[in-house]
Amino acid sequence: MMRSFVFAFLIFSAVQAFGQEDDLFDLFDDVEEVQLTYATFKGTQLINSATNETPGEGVLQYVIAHRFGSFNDDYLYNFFGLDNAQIRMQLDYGMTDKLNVGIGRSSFLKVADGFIKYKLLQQQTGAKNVPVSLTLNSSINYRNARYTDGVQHYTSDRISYLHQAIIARKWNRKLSTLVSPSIVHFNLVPTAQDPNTTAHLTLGGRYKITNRMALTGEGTLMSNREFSSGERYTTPFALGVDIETGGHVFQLHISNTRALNGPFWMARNPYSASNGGLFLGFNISRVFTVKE
Amino acid sequence: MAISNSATAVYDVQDGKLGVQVLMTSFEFKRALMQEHFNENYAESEVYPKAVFKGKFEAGRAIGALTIHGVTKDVDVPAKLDLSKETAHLVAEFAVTIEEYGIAIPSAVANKIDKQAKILVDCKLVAK
Repeated sequence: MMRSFVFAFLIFSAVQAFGQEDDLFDLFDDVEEVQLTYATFKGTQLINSATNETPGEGVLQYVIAHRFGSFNDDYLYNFFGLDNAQIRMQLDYGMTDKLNVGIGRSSFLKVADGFIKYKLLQQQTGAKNVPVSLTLNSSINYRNARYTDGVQHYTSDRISYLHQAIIARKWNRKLSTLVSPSIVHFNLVPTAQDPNTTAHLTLGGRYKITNRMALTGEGTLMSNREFSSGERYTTPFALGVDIETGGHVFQLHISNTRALNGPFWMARNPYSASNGGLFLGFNISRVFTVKE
Repeated sequence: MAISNSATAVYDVQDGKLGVQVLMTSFEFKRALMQEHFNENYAESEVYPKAVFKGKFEAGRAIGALTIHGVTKDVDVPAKLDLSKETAHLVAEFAVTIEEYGIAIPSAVANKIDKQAKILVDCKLVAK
């Protein structure tokens, strides 16, 4: 079935002339065509943050992510953190080449989520020059974990949102970067003095070291890290490596975050690398073409 | 199978010079991932954006140099060129060995990818 991979049947239609020219082949240079930039990133996620990529029409994607226990939490006893891993599973589908919808479930606070992602603009050169790709991403997250504060909570207390614009650019075949201004909204915050909505800015990039392997990194700045309850949140960052093998992308990384849902790792990260709050983790994605 | 609808062909009726070029990224595959792999891992379209044939049409054959993936090879393949007053119709079908153009296929996927790529050219030209 896959055999015909590089089986190129070309059907050329648009065309030029037959006539007198000094050098006929100079005509080739007169042709202005749009060249779309492809594969800015290998996966739909860089590490924790979303990239501008979507799976493409008719493609079903399954992502499984783990964040292992921290280096400062009885690391060897916990078998390098494997014994207390957090997990998130995601299933998403490409409705069109631009529109992607998905659902996920994470063990951290038992959060269930749904997201919608839309490629608004694609980087291109040639006849039309568009220097960056722009993708919009929104998620709604529902905390299923029981509250232990003894207060009767509304259903709406459990909900948080992430909205972001992902601006990505592939500078050359090796280097791609992204800048994602985001807002996170929690329906429930410690006191009325605390902001429900916080602003965040993710900076990330990848550098390919071979055709199938790349180094990745990301960090996210935030507008408010101190809450009146005394909680103080840190700047999330992660470093990793992408390995691609056919329909799979393996992403191995080290980060100072453990939660796997946007609002939680981005706006509610309590871990600090300076005292060993570092976690090994991986994301594995697999795509299935369900509609050709 | 991949199809490109945006190629350019030129032909000079006086001396029989013939040229065809196509942007690698213009090939559309049925599967998005195949298309990405084609551009990213095999054709390396960022570095070698075009495939180009430059040569001549002579006695039912296209003879010249074919450049794919930055490698130029001499080719001599059967072709058909129907000339009318205002238009010309070029049709050719041939195969190239992918390896000869410096495109390596990893052994892990060797049974999934043909060593030969079949190329079908179908161009309508307008007189200028």
